[in-house]
Amino acid sequence: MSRRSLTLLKNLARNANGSGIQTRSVTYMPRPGDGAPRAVTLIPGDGIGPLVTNAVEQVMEAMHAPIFFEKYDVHGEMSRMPPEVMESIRKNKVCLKGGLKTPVGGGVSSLNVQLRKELDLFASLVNCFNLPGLPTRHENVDIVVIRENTEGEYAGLEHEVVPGVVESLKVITKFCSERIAKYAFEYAYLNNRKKVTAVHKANIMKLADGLFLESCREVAKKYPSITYNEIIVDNCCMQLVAKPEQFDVMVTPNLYGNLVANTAAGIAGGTGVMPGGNVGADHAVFEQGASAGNVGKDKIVLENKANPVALLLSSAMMLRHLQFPSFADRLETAVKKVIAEGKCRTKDLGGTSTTQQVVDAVIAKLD
Amino acid sequence: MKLADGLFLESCREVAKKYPSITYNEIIVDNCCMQLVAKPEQFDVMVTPNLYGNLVANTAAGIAGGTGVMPGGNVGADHAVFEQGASAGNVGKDKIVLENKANPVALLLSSAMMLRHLQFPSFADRLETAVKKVIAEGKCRTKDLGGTSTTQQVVDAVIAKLD
Repeated sequence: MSRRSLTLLKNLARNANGSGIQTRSVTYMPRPGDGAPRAVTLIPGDGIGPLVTNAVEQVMEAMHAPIFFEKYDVHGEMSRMPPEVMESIRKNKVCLKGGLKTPVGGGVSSLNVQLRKELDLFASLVNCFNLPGLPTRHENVDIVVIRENTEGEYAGLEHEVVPGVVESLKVITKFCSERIAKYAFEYAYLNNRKKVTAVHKANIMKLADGLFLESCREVAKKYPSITYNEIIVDNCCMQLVAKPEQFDVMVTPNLYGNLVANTAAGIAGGTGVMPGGNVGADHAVFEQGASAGNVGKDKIVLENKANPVALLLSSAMMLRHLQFPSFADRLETAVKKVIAEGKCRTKDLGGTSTTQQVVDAVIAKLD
Repeated sequence: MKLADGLFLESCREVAKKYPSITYNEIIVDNCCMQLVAKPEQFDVMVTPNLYGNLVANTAAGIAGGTGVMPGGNVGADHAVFEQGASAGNVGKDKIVLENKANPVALLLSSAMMLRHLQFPSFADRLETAVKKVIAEGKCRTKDLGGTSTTQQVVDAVIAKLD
């Protein structure tokens, strides 16, 4: 306990001096016209979605960030994404969204998954890391889960062979496995990450997960300076809760990625604070990192106690994606200061604040 | 130069109106040079016409550590050329070349700017951090910074500090 409070105090002292926060804006030379405002499609969604997307809107406004939102009303009960929304995303290339409620069972497929498939957002990225001021059981956690987003167990191919017998097809292709492996290694290379771990269960699904592993191994050969290893998913889950600091970048097929990301998020502070997004060759959709389709309990919506931190940090990732690093840094720094201070926290972090109180605190800490 | 510099000022004022959250002020160049050497911390971003910019940049570079360490570059609508920040056309005395005592820091930091321009921020950060650590340590410095190292020694030190 004392070891943790020492780190806590050190971090707080650093933040107070401001010297621990790196300012990249010093040597960033923009091209003329880089400051022109960019359009971003905004889908508030269901449940806590409108609460947290509104939080982002307020903070962007306070920062005078060079983006403007094109808002669209989409709900999980709709059978398809409205065409004008898809058009808007195709035009703007970048979208920020809250969760869309997926009905359990029935014939309606999740709109969240539909969006990812239609835009071919083949990579889902979740960054799970310890936030200073939010002590958890483990320290030094900084895991990036890169999850194949279009196939695998989410191929949506199910049928009832005879009444009472359902077959569900898991489809793994070399094409998709290769491109997610390439993205994972490229991400590691461009972000100075040292290790990529492939998560699989090829001892059981010898062909499907075996194909995934082969693709990862092929790509790994091209990045000799990045360590590559493999771990069976059940052992992986155990290692995540025992010794999460051993992981760096993790590349996974669809379902394992979902589980690993949520586990890692829980380990490092909760799904309420982890940022993430989905990216494809031409578009990017940013949403809460882990458990993005989650729209929260009705009670949280009524009491306005949803945690906006995850979406705020995801919108900082979005700002970097749009090449506005200075705004991204300001937003992240303000959010991290609010968390470090510990006075303003929503229920999932053990506090009693409302969403709006957290937003106000972040805006107050913007420089 | 009421018309020439007046036109420059008018253009700046017009653009300033579109950024109300950014403070805008003007300073006459002679007073500016004096303020630079007396109280440089009052300045943030400075926009200048060609000649004044040359003088102001060299003065500011000298104030803050010397032209051997300040990064910079040139950018247009379609291209960018990165070179040593201030006094970029300066090719140095023959003696420095013979003894290999040129300071590589300025161009290293400019190349970090270039990496950011090319959208490789992680590499830019690594380079900058390594260079700043070498300078902070103070053991490996070329003649213009008061040391006795050669260019190659500084390079080796930077490479050693890369993570």
